[in-house]
Amino acid sequence: MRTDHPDQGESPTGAELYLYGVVRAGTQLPEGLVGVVATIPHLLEDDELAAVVSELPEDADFGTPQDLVAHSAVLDTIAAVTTVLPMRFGTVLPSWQDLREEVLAEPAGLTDVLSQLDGAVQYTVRVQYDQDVVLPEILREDPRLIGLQQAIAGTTEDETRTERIALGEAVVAGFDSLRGPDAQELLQTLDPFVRDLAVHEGGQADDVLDVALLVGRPETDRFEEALEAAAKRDHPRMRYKLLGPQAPYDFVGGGQ
Amino acid sequence: MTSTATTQQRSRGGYVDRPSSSSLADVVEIILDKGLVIDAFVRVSLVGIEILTIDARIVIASVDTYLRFAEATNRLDLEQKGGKDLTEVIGATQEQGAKGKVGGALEGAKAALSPDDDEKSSTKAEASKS
Repeated sequence: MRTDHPDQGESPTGAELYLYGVVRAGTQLPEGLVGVVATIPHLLEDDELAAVVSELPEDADFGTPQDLVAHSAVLDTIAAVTTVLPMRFGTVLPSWQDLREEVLAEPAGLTDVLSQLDGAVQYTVRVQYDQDVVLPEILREDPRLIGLQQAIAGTTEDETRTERIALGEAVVAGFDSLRGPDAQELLQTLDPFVRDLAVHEGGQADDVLDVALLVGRPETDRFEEALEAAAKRDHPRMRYKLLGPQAPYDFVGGGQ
Repeated sequence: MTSTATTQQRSRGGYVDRPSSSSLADVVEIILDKGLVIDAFVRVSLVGIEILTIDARIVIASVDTYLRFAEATNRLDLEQKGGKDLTEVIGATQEQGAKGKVGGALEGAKAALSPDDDEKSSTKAEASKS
């Protein structure tokens, strides 16, 4: 471990540094943060930027599911009060020197992204169809499906495998044809509050929408109210879940 | 984990489900492969996470999915019949039997002997598999 970094508040122990994310220099971290391996995150400042880091204890059992949750909890708690650029989970640097050279040395790129995201937070919205309500809707649309449903009632999977596959395929197609208009309607409802969005593809058949939204801080209350109103409108056909405010995981690039 | 509890605010008791902190499953889906990358320095072991990730991302168009939704319509049917008396259930079963009266009667007898415990438990097994 190098310890030849004389100036600003580096790790006195020469421990490896776990990097959560990057904020502007001068940021005040919220109190009570608990990081990976139960460490306390703090800031290491360079010129314009500051890194949110923890010293990793030597021989720490690092990289557990709890660490993943802690990583996101630290970032989301910071994001609630100020803009933070989240790093990919598991970013560990050998020293403050490396952190400065590899991450903070050319701050133009990072400060650009910070500027784009300033004053906004991410929310993740997931909407799913309620099967108990929507399945009967889909079945009623097509008498053939009622026939298949009756054909499999009281049988085992082996006895009516073909019918089951045909029925399931038709049900999935039914969800597919509902999803487009329903998702579109919701996105239009939320559009006035949304600066940017990233739709997550590849969900389950009964998903309506799974989307990350970038919402301006002044708009968060109205956004949440609009979402609540939409959920009320769509009850009981759809179930809404809202996560956030979060760090802008979907809007820093470097993702998939 | 506990630190978010303070910032993840007021639950409004409305129609939107708003967890006070993100569950592991949410976190895996939302952030596991996101965020800025300095390739050489990403070092993750993540014991036990892989399985969860695969679970979370099983793609939809598969025979398993079809079978699962077929079973869901089946469960719907059972629930609708829950309030009816047994003769109706047997009658319905006989009607469905494209296998003829004998098959239908046997089916009916089976349903009468083992109310719907069997079917319920197999439905549960299906659901927990998925």
